[in-house]
Amino acid sequence: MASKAKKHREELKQEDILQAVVIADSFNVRFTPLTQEKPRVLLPLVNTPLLDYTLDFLCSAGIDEVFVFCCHHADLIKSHIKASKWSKDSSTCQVTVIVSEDVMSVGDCLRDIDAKDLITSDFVLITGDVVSNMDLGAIIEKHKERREKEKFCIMTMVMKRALPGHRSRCGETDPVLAIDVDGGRILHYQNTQGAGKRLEFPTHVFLERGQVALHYDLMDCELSICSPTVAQLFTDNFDYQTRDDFVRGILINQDIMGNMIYLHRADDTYASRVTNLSMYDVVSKDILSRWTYPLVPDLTEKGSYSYGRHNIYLHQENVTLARGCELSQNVVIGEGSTVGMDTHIANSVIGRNCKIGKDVKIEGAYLWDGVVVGDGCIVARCILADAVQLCERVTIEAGCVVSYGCVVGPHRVVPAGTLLSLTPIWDFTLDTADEEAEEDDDDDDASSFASSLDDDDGDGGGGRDDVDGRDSPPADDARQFYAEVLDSLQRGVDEDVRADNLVLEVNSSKYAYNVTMRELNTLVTRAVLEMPHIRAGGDDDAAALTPPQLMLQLKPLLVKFAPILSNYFKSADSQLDCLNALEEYSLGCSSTAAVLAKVLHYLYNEEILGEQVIMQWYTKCQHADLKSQVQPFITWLQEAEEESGSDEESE
Amino acid sequence: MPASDQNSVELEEKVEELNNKLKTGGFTGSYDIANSTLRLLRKVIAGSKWNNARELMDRVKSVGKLIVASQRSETSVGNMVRRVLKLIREEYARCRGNPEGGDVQSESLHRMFTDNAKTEDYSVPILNVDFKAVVIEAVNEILIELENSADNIAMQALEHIHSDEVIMTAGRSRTVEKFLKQAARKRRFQVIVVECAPFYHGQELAWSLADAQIDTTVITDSAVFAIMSRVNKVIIGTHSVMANGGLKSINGSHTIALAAKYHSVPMIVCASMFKLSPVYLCSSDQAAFNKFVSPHSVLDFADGKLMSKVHVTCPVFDYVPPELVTLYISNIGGNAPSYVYRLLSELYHPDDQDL
Repeated sequence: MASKAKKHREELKQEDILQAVVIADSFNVRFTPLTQEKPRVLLPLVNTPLLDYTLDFLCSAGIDEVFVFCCHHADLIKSHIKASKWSKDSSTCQVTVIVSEDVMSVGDCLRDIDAKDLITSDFVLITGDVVSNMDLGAIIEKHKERREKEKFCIMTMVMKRALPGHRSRCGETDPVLAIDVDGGRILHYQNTQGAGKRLEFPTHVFLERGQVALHYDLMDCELSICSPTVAQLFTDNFDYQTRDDFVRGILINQDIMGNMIYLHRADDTYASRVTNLSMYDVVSKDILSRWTYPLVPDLTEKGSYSYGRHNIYLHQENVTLARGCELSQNVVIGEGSTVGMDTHIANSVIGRNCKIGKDVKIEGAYLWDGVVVGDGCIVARCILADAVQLCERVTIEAGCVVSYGCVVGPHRVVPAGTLLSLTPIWDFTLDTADEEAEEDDDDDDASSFASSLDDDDGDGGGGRDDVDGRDSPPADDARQFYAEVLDSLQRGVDEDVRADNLVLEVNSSKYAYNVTMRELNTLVTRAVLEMPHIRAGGDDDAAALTPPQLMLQLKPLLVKFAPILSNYFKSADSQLDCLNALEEYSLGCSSTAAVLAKVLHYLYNEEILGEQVIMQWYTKCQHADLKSQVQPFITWLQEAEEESGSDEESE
Repeated sequence: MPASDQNSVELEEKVEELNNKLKTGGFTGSYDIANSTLRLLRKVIAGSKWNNARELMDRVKSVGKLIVASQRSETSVGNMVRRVLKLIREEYARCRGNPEGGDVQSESLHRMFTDNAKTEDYSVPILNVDFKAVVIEAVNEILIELENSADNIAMQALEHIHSDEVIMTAGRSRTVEKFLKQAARKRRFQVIVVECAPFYHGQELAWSLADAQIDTTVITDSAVFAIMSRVNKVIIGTHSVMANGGLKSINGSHTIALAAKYHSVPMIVCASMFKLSPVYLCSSDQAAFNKFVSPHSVLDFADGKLMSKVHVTCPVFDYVPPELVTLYISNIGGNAPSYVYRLLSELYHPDDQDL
């Protein structure tokens, strides 16, 4: 049997097989505490695990081979796939699980794939939480056609129109694109989330082109068709962490490297990602109102659900509805569940084997399997995970998440936005922020963004090497790397080497000494600061330079290295690394401390450091004297912000 | 035994493929569905292991159930499974030297009382002939009938369409398209095509007819009643014909049928025999009668503010009651809707009505 299957696959190999890479890890903790026991891709969305939607979509699109990349709770994903229909011999699509404990980002996954040499032709890159019904085959066909004509077309990104304020715009990405109108080539891509109110487009976007369209009405489906070179490019540029990094990198270098990215607009089909709790709510609603057809409960579950007027989906086995209960609209009731008398349910999903008592009101709630709701409860928009028990007359207000096995009540009121869990919750603020993202989107952007990055260790499993440069001396490799970087930079100034080449040099040294991104950020900053001292005559005389002298020396260096710094400090946490390195260095050198405010000002002006990151660093900084040094700059920054804020309002 | 294992795996793969295609709507019409189902069932008969007719029927039934479950609204799948089951019964009876056995027509009140003791259980193996080959041969015959059905219907076109008539049709039915084109070879007439929003298949039909030099006009769905007084005949296709002679056809058909009734315009329905299904419509909310697709053709998904406030239902089919239909044209000739029950009893065995 096995040999037959193998033979069959060999036959397939000879043809052009279609491959897909599914990233089954989110590398963040948006779903804690729910993800403490299950990986995100196995959380039920309308009573079906999220991953099944993605795999179903890929298989029905005619993909022959799917690689599922996972690290957090990999064993659960593995056993899920093993038990699923995709592991049967009759499956038209082969699903392989790849476990890699130490991958920390999409970039790492692709580097791993490149190292394992799994990709043979154009492939689909998708995350494990996409729900979509688009005709992928046609998009792949188009991509291939384009590549035939233009061999540098390395990626087709799929996006969908959704006007600002659309419920499916998840609030985590807010892309602005510049597109060549004929051909659909992407010329510029920018994620405006947290970028402030001013947008800039490089002039080359508009040069020598008939028509350029600027789009703010597109929603990224996190779905792209990639040529095999994409994986190689990730390997070559180890600083690409996310797909956004990659896209930005390609677009910046498109004149040099010639690589191009195209856009495919899938406006009349559905595609959405379950990135956070509010998206969970939105996508569930879309499924219930059949936007995702044919991925709707009455078709995906092999006809085990019946579909009735007002989008009522009832499992055909053992669902008991007592007399007088009212299912008003958009309701799914899973296998073996019972609903008591005079209960009212609307816009909700009830899982398997749930028991709902008498006189209950459930509106907009997601009940997973085995939930017990006592008589007289009122449940608003919330998630009740597996085996939650609500005793009599419990009220759950909107925005709550009750994790596995909690027992609540009786006669309790759970206030809005509460997280309940039996195990300690990793980060409390984050999830409430997500849940209420729709209501307040102003203040939490920066904090949730930064904390999500901080939290990478928690969900990612492997844990990033925490380099605390403050008191521990750099490790051997790092020290050598530092020397190397210093050398490169020195030479860069002496021989006037181009910034691009310097970046390449630094990157290759990073490889050679195997230092982490974080170390690199710290050390590059440090190297730039140290250079004036070395030029003035070595470490011993460091104090000899007076602050004005130092500034005089440092200024041209900063100007020279600005492109390099902006290349590395793209994300908020790398900028934070940079600031920490500045802080650390200033502590050891009084003249640097004196010019710190000026350096910050310069870096801020050059848009290397973002305002929010600076403010964040400032509030966390514990050295009072240093704080007083940069105080003038911070005050200036705050005033500028208020001014621009009031400007906006007055307009 | 590796050979049979291989066969069964291959079969499962084929079933899975068909299921997938049904689910995602990869078929262009119910003819394609019926055809693929029949071909698959032929493979089931040829490729799986069975010792007598009973086992074969169970096997066909179980595969049939699987395919039906993947898209319940596609009735032609079930119809084909029932056709094959009936055919196995007939061939069994014939091979056992009992030509009356599978014949339902002879079942009458009188017979029910006289020999009720004798019920056939189809478990006796047939030794003197190659039963498998006989059954496959019979399935091939149905396939041929299926392939010729549209042509056979088109052959009757000249009896129904006369010179200078105004014909109204709706949506895009391949059978009707052939029917009209066949008539257009001999006669000149005008066709009015209802576009059938939101799918606009009518516009496709209009293109195709115009290419064949037929005088064609496209109208919106709302203009049907206004135009009806000028029409001589309504000729539409259908998705399936219900057991009572009613229609399950593209949405908008009911409006057309009512308008036709009001203006006393004959309503002619072209439907091959494979569309006859032994299913009744009991309530307008009957599960698995209709197909509800994504609302994107009605409402723009991008318009978020509106989208999250409204509830859009997008049904594909309409039910047209039999009293609004004047005549069915099938591949074996024209019949009144009241006669459909009779055709059904010829096509399917009563025991197979429930799959």
